[in-house]
Amino acid sequence: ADTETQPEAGDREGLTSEEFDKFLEERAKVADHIPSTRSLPPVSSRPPPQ
Amino acid sequence: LQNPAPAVAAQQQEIAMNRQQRYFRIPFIHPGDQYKDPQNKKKGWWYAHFDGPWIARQMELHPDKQPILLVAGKDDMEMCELSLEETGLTTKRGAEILPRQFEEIWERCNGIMYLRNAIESRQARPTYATAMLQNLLQ
Repeated sequence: ADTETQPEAGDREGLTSEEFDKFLEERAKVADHIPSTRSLPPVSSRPPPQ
Repeated sequence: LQNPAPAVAAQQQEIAMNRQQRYFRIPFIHPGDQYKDPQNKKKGWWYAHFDGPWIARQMELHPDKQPILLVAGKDDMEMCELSLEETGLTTKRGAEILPRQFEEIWERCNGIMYLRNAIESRQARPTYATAMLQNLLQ
């Protein structure tokens, strides 16, 4: 058996640092303030200027 | 002068070429979403290009939102300030991606134009990414 490989996925998976996890969480919140592209009218449907 | 002296630019490029380039992608999970049905979780993706120990480009994709592109120098306040080692990304299984996987999405999100504008306005810090783009544009 290959004993040199990493342990099974689970506890060993997702080993990003606590600082990094906090950073990523903050960045995820930023997206909440971006307007959804679905809520924007498509450019092509805008009427031409009068 | 519009550009650094050629000797300086060449030196910067040579330094950049000798650093290890690594690319990562990991999913965003919004706070509070952890316990939702995985099928209903709307997750985005966080992409990073590390030039040596420090991040050079960051890209954030969320469902139904405009992509967020960030480059070192111009957008440092919003970028990962941890070194690659400090993030733990190198030990996270499945997080590392191939350069072309990053570049494909970067180009699709108009990253080339964004980085080019940052270089031209002298806001971008010289990195492997700026060196590559400048080579391409020469």
